Amino acid sequence: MTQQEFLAKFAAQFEETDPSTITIDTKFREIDEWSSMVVLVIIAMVDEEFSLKLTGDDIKKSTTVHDLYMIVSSKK
Amino acid sequence: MFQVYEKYGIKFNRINENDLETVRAWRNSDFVRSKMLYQEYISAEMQKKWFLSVNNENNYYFIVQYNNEDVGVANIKDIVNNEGESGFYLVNESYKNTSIAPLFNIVFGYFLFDVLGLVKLRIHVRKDNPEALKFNMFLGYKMIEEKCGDNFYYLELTKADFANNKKINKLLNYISKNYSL
Repeated sequence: MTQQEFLAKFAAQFEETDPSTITIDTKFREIDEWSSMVVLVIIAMVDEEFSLKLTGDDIKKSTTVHDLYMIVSSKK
Repeated sequence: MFQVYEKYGIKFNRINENDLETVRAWRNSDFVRSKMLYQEYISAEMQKKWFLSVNNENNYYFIVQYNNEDVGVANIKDIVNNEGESGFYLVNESYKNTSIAPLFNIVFGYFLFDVLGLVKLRIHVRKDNPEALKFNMFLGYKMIEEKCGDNFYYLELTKADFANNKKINKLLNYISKNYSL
């Protein structure tokens, strides 16, 4: 899983947000569409796409997409 | 009347008299009270009176447990003609921005529509709580402009909208495969 692959999968989870506006440095809680519901969406995406278990706490302690990528990478 | 409903590791325990003071403490906390339309302090006497008025088949108030921890309170109230007003809150700020609220609200929606047999839910959301608005719209709630007030949004969710919500179905499918029971 490359950083670009993770970013693309992450950005694809948003229906009303232009994926090109989300970068690896985006503070994901600042995305208009973000809500705690998206937390579960991201957990499911990481599990299904990368077969890795991200937790709600992992997301809670992250700020940017890059932070999430680093946590997911560390679980491989 | 359901006293306990359990699915996918989420347990809904109907509130009984022994829970009243615990629930009152949560409800009076700044974290919970600030999100509510009614924000006045609730006394023990008010709580008992409230419980007597809702302890019937038209109202369900549950303490929600996950991993044997009390995480929230979920309710459906004023059920008439298979329609009712839904609501929930997390009991502790530490659960905010985690997967807990999405998890138990999706399971609760399944319970309300597929187990209790309701056909429409309504909800009031404070206008100063955009997170709750986004959360409920993700579930499929639609805003009914003419029923909104000065300080609250009014939204409705039909059984069909919930059942046909692809995002929710995808998550429910994920939950069913990855959470116990």
